[in-house]
Amino acid sequence: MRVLTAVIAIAFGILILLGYFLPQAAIIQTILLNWAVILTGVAALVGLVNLMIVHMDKVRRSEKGSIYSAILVLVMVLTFFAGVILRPDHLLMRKVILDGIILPVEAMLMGLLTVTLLYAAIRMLRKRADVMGIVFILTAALLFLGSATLPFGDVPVFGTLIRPWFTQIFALGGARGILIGVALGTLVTGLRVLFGMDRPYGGK
Amino acid sequence: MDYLDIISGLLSFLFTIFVLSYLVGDNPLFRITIYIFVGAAAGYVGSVIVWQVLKPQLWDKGIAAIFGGTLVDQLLILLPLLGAALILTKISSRMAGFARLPMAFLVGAGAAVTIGGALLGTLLPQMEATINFFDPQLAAARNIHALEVMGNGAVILFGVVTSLAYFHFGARQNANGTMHRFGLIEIIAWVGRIFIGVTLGAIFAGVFAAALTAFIERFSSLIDFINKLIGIF
Amino acid sequence: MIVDLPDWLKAAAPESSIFSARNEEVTRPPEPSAAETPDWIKNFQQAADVSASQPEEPVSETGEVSPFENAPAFTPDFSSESSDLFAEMPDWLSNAVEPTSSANVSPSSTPTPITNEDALAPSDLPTWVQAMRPVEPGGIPQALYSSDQTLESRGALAGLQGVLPAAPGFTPTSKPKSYSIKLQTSDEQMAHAEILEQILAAEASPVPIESLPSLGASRGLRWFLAILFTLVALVTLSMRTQVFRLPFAAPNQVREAQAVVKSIPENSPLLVVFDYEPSRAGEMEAISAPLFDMLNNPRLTFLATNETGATLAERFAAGSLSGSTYLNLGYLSGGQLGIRAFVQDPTRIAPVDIHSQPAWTSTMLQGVTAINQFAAIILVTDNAEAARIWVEQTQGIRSVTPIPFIVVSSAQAAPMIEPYYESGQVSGVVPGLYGGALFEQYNAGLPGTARIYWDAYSIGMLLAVVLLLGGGLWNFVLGLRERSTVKGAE
Repeated sequence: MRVLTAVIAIAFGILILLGYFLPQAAIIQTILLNWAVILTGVAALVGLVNLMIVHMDKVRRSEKGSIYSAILVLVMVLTFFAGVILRPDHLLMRKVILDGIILPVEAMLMGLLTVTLLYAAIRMLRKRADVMGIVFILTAALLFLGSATLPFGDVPVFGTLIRPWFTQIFALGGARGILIGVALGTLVTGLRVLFGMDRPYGGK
Repeated sequence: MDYLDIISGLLSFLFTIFVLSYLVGDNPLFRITIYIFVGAAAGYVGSVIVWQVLKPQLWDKGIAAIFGGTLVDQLLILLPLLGAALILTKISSRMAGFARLPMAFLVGAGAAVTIGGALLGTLLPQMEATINFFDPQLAAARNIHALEVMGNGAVILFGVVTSLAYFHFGARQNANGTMHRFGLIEIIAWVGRIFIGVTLGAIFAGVFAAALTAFIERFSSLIDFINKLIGIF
Repeated sequence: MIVDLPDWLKAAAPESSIFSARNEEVTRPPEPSAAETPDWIKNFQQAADVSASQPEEPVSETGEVSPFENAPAFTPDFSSESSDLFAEMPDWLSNAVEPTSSANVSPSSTPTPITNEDALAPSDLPTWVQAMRPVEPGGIPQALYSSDQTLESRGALAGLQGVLPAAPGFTPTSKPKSYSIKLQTSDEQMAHAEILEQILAAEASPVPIESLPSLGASRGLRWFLAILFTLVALVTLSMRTQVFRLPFAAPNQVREAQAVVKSIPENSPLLVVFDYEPSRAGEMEAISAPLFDMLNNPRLTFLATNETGATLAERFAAGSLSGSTYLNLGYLSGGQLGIRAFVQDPTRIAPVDIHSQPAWTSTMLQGVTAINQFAAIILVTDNAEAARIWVEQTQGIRSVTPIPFIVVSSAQAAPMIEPYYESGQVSGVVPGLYGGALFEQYNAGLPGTARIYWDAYSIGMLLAVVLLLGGGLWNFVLGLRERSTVKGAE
């Protein structure tokens, strides 16, 4: 099985990679990627089933907090069947599930970050007062100032000069360095998979 | 404002307040809200996958292939169907090993797409763009003074090089067993820290701005709902 | 049977195999002298000589030698190989087998021949089985046999006597010698071992991480921040204040985005990708609305690359695009795999719309079968990673047929999208509420969501600057004092 999985990963990987460089291989790439689209959908569904099984186990074993797990399973099953019967784009689903539950909870959790992030940033220099920390805080403060306006218009110098220069020149250098570093990292990781050195699908 | 809007607004109002209550501290209302949210999101995602992935890609295509498709069409739908069946074995702990076959396919495909994208879409264009900052013709085409462009280009090039050096972790061992980087790399990496610090500061400012906008949007929706209710009664 | 074997296989066959011809002369290595050979090995040799001197069995009429008929299971090579083996044995091993020599055998261990002749007469046994039989008593070291003559009464060995020796009869005849366990090493080897030990010790010993004691949570500060920002939001939004002006100085990427949007011809097909979480819906809708409002009667095709994206697109269309027509292709799964597949062949990957109707024959997509036939791509995202993937995977097709690519980005993703704008891979960026407010400025204030939020946003940002600098400086000083106190105490 280990050999077979490695052969599958390497062979299909090379076939798909060829599609980037050979126009003749593009059709094969599309067909294989279409399969991948289907399989990722099924894999996501399996993940959801797993989530439900885990929480049902908690309920069955009457673990601490199992009442919350029971609520989760109940809401999950109800939403799933409602979505399957009505379709997810149905107005009822959009208004009740998306606008009524998912969006407000996620958005408010995101909103809470306002307090949490500011709190953490204020206290950061107490623990970490090195060059990177100071540069980090000063940059954030400058960009806050540059992003705001005053009753008479942009904050002079900060909004018109410093903010654009920082975001388009200074931060760009670091961001491009990070992007190239990430690209190199992903490239190497991908090559390791295609050479069979890394086998995240199982086996050494 | 129809009854759906009222139900939706009421739910939104309640859940916003319940999550906001976390500022006071962790409490049962907050926890119930989070579990309801996870359940609803998971169930919703499941139904989206059924209707927008499996139905058009497997069911519709499968039916079309069986009733009127060629042998090639049938094979092209049979293979992903088989892969899907193998992935489903992951649910059973005894048969989960079979799922490794389609997972290997997905990993190989992911690796190939990552390589192609990173090489052609990021590495080469980004390096080319860093070099092109020193091209006076391109500066003229953008109607920017060559000196200004080259000055900015030098800063960006310096930032790119020093940031990359910051991620260079090659080191030698001292006689006392401690590790140290090569001297020149150490100096360049120190400068790189400043650029990375600036970039992270910019990202932090962005995350804070996004969070503040979400905070404002929530309060705006609360106020809107109350205003609408007042309008009704 | 041996004649049936091909030559190459004969050559590969071992000399002592059962396929060897009986009368073939066996080349023996020189035997060790009698003085060098222990007694018990001599006994083995005698036994072997006895079997070797037995008369040859008749050969079949065909002249073939049946391997199973005459070949003994143990050929004479056995003894010679054995003697070679033991001649080369080190001293310590030779000493270890000394106690079994016949000279040390006690009278109590005198062997007795097995008494199972009743079961099968010796004359009936084929020769190869005889060869497997224990050899004559005189030729076998007596100590190898037990004195236990128990007759087995049950089981597979029922009727046999003395087959399994009982434990009491198996007693050591001499005290085993003690051997030194001291390792013979050179100084150089010892030095290497010490270095290895040091390396291992350094790996195992924990390295203390330099850190200050963790800070206690300041509930007061958190409450203060929460109340402050809540008050700002409540007051400005409920009073609908418009004190702070919208920003005016548009950065390059926003100006470029405006130029691209204005340049798109009327009734052009546009691909709009929704890739943001519901948590950023408020921000993304506020940013996107003025941009879409600026478009000249476009034919919009929506595509989502996260699960809730398709419904968020419907929500956006219902709120900000009321009256406009659009086509929603729904959710595209697979992340970058799906995106690549869609870029290569959109008709195969997204054949139907969100209502399961054929998409590519609709009027919205008239004349469009490939991604480079769209007039522009607009990516609405809160995720720098998603933007990177879309830029990367469309790079190939856009380098052949340039298509304007605009990114409407959340403020948090904008810094990492900036390099793609500077490299020309992205035509324009609308970053966060700031970018949305700029667009709104240039769109006669329509639709106005950014304006509603702007006072709260500006005050929040200004407060954050004051708190960050003031609080940061205060904490910096406190940290310095704490560290100097810790150093003083040490």
